[in-house]
Amino acid sequence: MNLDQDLREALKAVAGGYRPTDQLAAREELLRRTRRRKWIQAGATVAFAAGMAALAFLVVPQQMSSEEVARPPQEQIVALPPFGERAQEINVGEGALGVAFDGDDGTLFALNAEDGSLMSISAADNQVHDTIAIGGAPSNLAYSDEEGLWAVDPGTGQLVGVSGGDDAPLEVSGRYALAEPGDHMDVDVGHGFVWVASRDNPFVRHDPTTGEQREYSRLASDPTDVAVGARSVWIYDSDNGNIGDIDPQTGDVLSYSFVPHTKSRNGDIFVGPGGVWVANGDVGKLFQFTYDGELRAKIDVGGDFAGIWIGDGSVWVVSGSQGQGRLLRIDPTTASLIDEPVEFVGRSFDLVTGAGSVWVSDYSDGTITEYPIFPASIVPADDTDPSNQTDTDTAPTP
Amino acid sequence: MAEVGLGVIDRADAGREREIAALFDRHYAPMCRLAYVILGDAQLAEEIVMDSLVKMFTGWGRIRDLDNVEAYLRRAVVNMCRSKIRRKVIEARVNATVHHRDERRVPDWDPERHETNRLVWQAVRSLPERQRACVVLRYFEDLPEAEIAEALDCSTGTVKSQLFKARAKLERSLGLSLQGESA
Repeated sequence: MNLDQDLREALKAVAGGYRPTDQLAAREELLRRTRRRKWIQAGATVAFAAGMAALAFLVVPQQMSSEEVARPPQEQIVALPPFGERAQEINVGEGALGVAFDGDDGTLFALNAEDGSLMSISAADNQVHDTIAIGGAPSNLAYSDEEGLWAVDPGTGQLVGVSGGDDAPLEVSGRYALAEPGDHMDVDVGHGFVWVASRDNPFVRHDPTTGEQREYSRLASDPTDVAVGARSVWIYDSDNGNIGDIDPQTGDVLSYSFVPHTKSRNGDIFVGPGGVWVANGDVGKLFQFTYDGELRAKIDVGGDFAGIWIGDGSVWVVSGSQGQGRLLRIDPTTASLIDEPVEFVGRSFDLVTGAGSVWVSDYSDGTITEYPIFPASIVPADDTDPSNQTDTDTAPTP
Repeated sequence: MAEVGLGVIDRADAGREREIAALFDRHYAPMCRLAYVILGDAQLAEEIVMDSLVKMFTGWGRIRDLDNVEAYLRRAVVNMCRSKIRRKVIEARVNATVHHRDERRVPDWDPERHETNRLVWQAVRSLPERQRACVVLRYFEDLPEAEIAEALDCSTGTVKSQLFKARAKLERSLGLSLQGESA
């Protein structure tokens, strides 16, 4: 026997028997601990700076007049306004539900489930430009440049196509009965098709050009939510926690399997940066999966989950219960919260990003609330803040 | 599984956290294995690696050579393992008369198939902490003597002598005849 060889084999065998117990938890622990320590350091720095400032105040009392105090140039504003501080509300009537955004025209679309209407709203002035009747109780909207604007109406079990928007009047371009009235329905668009999921009904691919429909009876259960990804279309069955994806061109089912933790009657799915995001409203958690179905992170977003949207490089979530809602912004790379969650009174069911803002519907008070997203390094100057007035503003006219 | 709390980061910190997460993904498991082979205790190994990572990232500005993160981390992990072994030896002496402690987990393997491995590892674990670290870095990490010396903060001559002594002890305890490494 060779001792060197025995040592190598034995030590490698020992190492091979080791598996990190919970690597994701460890990573989060590391991020938390390094973050907390940084806060302590930052706190010490602030305390030191405050002490020095107090000392300077005592040593050089009131030597400079207010006119002589140097004002920071506008470009050097470094403080980030609290997210949600400049929110604006748009009144759309009781029952605001689904929202969608046309980025080219800067038009926001909003559904009202109480009176069955659809509105187009200009993001430039937040004014309602047009309103049409969709039907029973429309719940979800989807828009893309290629496939256009589509709504699902659980009140009538129909998929409804809509043309118009921006300056053109809204008009219903087609209605397609896909479900029994009263069934939960969801819609998304992409890859040249409209995709409709509805409880207790087949999953449907609708061709907006030809009107041809394909049903996916091979899916053993009944997917209730749908999300279009870059390469495939993802479905989520809130009845049993299954997720899967479909090749959008061939219609082949690429995967379909149970994913732990996600079974919930109140759930949703979204695909985008960071993988596949599935919400479980029963436990108030958002789950991040890889495209292979491996769980990457679990994020507490609060109970009675309402909606997910991915835009502006973030994952946005609205949740809430008992009339209290919250909007959360999550970094898809680290699965960490960005900014303080925005708390609001109301009951939200959907959200969308567009024109540099997040738009959140509120069913209970019939509003769409716009939350501007400020890039961290570019904070717009507040014209009402006197400290941002330039000297030329007050200089006498020659 | 990651249970993400409601800690808040701003966007400027997000980039730094991504960097930390990426370095974690690259180094955590290999360093845990290294610490596990030295200590024989998975939980302790993970604690040590976590502490080393926290120490490294909170002192991030002091690391001059970012390409040498692995060596820096290995050195921190090995040193903390050695320190832990020293402490555990003292603790074991104190606790031996008070209560029995199952300090190390037996690795999960088939004892018949891996009898040799088991005996070898038992012998390695009986080595003094410095010799044990030398053996693990040499035969598990396959490090040259110069890098072992760097990791243990000693001279290459010390590494050579420690390895020689360790091998002699292992030979004795395993009842093997001395066979030098082919190199």
